[in-house]
Formats: sequence, structure tokens, C-alpha cells
Amino acid sequence: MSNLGPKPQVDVDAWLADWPAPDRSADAWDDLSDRIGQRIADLQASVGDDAWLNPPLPHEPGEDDGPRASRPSGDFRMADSAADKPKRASLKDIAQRVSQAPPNSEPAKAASATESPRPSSPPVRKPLVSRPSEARDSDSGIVDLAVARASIPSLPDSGVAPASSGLFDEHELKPGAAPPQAAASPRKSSNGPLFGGGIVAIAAIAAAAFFVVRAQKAPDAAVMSASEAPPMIVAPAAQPAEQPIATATAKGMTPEGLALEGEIVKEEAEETAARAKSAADKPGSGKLEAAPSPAASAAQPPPAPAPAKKSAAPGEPGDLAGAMATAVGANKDQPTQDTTGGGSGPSGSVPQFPSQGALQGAMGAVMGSARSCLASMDDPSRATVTFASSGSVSSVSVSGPAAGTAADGCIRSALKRAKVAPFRAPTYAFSVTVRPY
Amino acid sequence: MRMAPSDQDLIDRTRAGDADAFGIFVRRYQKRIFRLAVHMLRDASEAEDVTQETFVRAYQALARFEGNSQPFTWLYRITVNLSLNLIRTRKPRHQAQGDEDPRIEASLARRASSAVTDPSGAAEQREIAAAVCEGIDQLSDTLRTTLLLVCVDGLGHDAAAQVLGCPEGTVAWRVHEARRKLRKYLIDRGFSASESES
Repeated sequence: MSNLGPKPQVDVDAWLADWPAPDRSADAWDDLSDRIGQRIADLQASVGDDAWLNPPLPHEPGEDDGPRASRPSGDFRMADSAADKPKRASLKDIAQRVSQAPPNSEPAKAASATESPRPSSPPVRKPLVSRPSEARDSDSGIVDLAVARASIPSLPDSGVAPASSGLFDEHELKPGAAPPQAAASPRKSSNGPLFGGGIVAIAAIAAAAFFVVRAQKAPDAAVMSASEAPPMIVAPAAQPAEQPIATATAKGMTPEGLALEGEIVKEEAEETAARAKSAADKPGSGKLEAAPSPAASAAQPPPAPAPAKKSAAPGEPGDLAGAMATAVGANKDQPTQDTTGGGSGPSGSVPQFPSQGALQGAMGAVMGSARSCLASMDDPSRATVTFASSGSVSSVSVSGPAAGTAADGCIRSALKRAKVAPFRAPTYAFSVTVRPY
Repeated sequence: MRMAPSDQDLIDRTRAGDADAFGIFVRRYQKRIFRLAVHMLRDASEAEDVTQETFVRAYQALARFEGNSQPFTWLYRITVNLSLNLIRTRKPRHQAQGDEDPRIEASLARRASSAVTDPSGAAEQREIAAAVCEGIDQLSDTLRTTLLLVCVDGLGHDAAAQVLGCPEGTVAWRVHEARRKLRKYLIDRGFSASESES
């Protein structure tokens, strides 16, 4: 390196802007692009994205595994793995076989239909439990009702014709085949459990939703015990109380709102606990009629006191309305003074102050630009951002090392771009620390 | 006159099965990708490997390209990631020295085609190129990458922001900071570093 005389002047930007790629001939560039093309062509010809899911081992010559033997090597399509799966017999097919075939052959057939088969012969299953000596060959465990009826002639004829195989009506029964009693009986018995199961499922969903909402609002033992007795009787009482519920839900975002609502709910719960006990004494009274409605009310947060009230006092709707009116009135009388933000008043949709999450998100979106203003500084500065009720920033004040410098205006312009959702208070001030990179 | 297909057209045609379309795309960007890789890695052979790998991975990921950004920013991001990954897995103190630095040779080759023909001028240019390269190497990966994308490759701040996944303001600050540090390095080396309007 030359040390004689002054060093030359360097135009950094010009050097950077005019910096070509290392010199290569056109053939070299073509060669590079050809190699890239070859690698891509190899990709296309080889395995795809799903290849790692395929069986890793190639087919062994002479290996007898049925359909796989005919597959060409290198065929790594996902469909090959699906071909190995046995074709599952439908329930209808199984039922038809059960109703038609001799009982002692049905288990083998049913088993072979559902398990991975060896196409050559059905598997010989060794029973896990030795059969008692008195077991007959026909003792397959499958009951043929026609045979059973025939074997017990003393059974009175109820006059009801044996249930037809309505479930499998589309199946063409072989002429002379016995009425598919075995198919019918599952149908008869399946409808009842299905219907009952549906009711139970709907009730369970409603109960779960009710418990979740209650746990969020007021995790109070008295409330829980009050709600347990008639958990499903929610919807009829929920409807008239929709508006206050919405208020409570929005209000529940703040600790104060939660506490306030919890107090109200607790009072209501204590009042209805006694009624809930009386309702619990009538277990079957309201559950069935409420079964459809919990499904509809699962989407809505039900009020805590409502179910017990409704079940306990169907003739006293006024009490429920009065309780809810008290709750609404109590909410109105207690304005939130939360300076940390997030309280919602009786209007419900617009919060009193912006939530902490909204503030963090708004600041996070602009903080990068603000920090870049402190490039030449080592120490952080503070900024107080004042939001107007519209959600936009009305003013920014900077304190610390950046105050009064060029970075002051830079920070203010960066933070002024922050925006939150509208809120009811006239203004809201929020302080942040702006740290240099 | 037939308009050259846009990058998005080439991508769409490649997805539709036109292998030639991706070849056009490769030829369109391989020089720029190679130049970026050379500046990132300071090694021509590694840069060539990264260039190949960039296009292969871009091809493999075509299905995931949603078209929310320019295809070339997507290529650049792959290149930057591959280069940074390779740098981090390198043995320490891997750095091209003097005449081995392909960046210097490329810069001198460009300037040799201009009016500078005397040996002293060539030596001076080599000295400057070496100093600029060293100054760039002194920067952090973040500042160096941003500087290369914006000042060497000529990407706009918005495109660089897409490549780097950061706001445009951050790109602007990084470029400003990188140039300031590079200028300071050259001044410390005894050069008088001027700045042009950017």
C-alpha cells in the first residue's frame, strides 16, 4: 500500500453503485445456467415432496407380497401406499353377511373384511379365550332373532311385525332370505341411543360452554354449585338478558370489570342457590325441554343466575328481569377509573380507554422507526404519547437525551403514526422508552 | 416488438409445467445473484454454489410463492439466507486476501475499461478497492447485507425491506449507518471520503 502523498479522494457511493459482478465469459454464464437447469431437471425426475413418506425399501426379487410385485421400481407415488390398504367392508356389507350367512362363518368373514388381508385365505384366528365345553359350534355370539323367536314359541305375539331392515332397504335381499332381524334390531336399538346420545351431546356442549363462561366471569364455588344443578336450562333466560350480557362480556376485559361482574354474579348466585336446590329435586323436569335450547345458547355466554332462576321459578320471570336490571344498574353506577386502560362502560362496544394490548401493538408498529432516530445516541429517551378519543395520536412529548435535538422531531413524527381503536375518554396518555439500536 | 415476459409470468408458466420459463428466469437473475453472493461470501466458487442452490431452492418452493412480493426479492432472500448460513458455518477468519478477492478484481476490471491506464492509477484504484472492501467487511452482517442490496445491487428501500423482512425506515437507517461507518473507516485509513447525493 502506498504511503507517499495524500490519499486519493474516494466517492463511496460511486464505488458501491458501480460494482460489477466478477468477470465471466458468456460461456461460463451459460454453463452456470445449464448446471442449474440440470439440477432442476434432476429434481423433476426424482422423488417429489412426498417421497419421504413412501416405503423406503425396494422390492426384493422373488418377494411375494401381492400387488407390490407388479409395481415398477422407482415409483414413489403416494398412491402406492394407499393401494396396500385393504378395502374396508362397509357396515352394511357386514350386516348383510351376518343376516344371511351361517353364524359360524360370519366372524371369519367379518374379521377378514376389516383386517389387512392376505388375499389367499382368511386368517385362522386362535381364540384368545378357550371356549367352554358346552359351547356349540353355532355359538358365535351373534343372535339371530328369527331363530330365537322360533325357539321360544311361548312368546306372545305382540302383533307388531318384525322390524324390517329399513336401514338397509337399498340392499336387494336374496329371494327367500330370512328377514334381516339382525339388521333390524340394530336399527331399532340404534335409533333410540342415537337420539338419546344426541340429546346428551347437546346437553354436554351447553354445559361445557356454560361452565367455561362462568369460570371466566366468576370462579366462585357458590356460583358453580348453583349452576351445576340445572346446567342446561340456559337459553330461555338468556334471550331477554342479551344486552346486559354483551355489556358484561366486553366489560370483562379489564380486571375491574371482572371483579365488578363477579360481585354481581356472586350476589345473584347466592340468591339462586336455594332455588337451584329445589330444581335439583326435580331432575327430569326441565332437562328434556331445555335440551334443544342449549345447543342454540352454546354460542352465547349465558348469564350465571339465569338458568337456576328459570328452572326454579318459571312462573317468576320478573325476578330474573329484576336481577338483570340490577346488574345493569350496578354497572352504570360504578364508572371504571382504570388508568391502565381497557375498561368498558355500559355502552359496551367502545371501551373507556384503549386496552394494553392495543397500545402495545400500536407502539410496536412505530417503535422501529422511532428507535432509528436515535442512531447517534447511546442512551434511551422517553416519549409520552397522547391519544385522542378517535384513536389517533394528538401529541407526543420527548424527554431525555433526545429532547431538543433533531432526534426529538424524528421521534415525534414516528410515534404520531401510532393508532389504536376509538375509546370514550377524551384523551389517553401513554409513556414509552425509546432505546437506540 | 415482443415484450419480455415479466417475472410473475415466468413463475406462472413454470408452475404450469414450462421448464423453459424457469430457464429464462435463471438467466435473467443469475448475474445479480452471483454478484450478491460474491459480495456476501467474498469467494467466487462459494458464490457459484450459492447461486445454483438459490435457484434450485426457489424452484422447489415455487408452490409456496404466493405472489405477494416480487419474485426477485424472493430470490434475494434465499441468497442472503444461504450466504449467511454458509458464513456462519465457515471456519473463523475465512476472508479473501488481496489479489484473491474477486470483488477487487471485478471492480478493477470495470475501472480498467475507463480512462485509467497508467500503472500508478491502477495501483491507486486497487488500493481504494481493497480499502472499500475491507471497510464493508468491517460492518455487521445486518449493515453489510443492507448496504449490498441497496447500494451495490441498486434495490429500492421497499424491495430491500421485502428481502430483509423489515420496515423501509429500518432499511434507510441501516444504509445511512453503513455508509457512515464505511466513510469513517476510509477516513481513518487516510482517504478523504466524499458522499454523493443518493
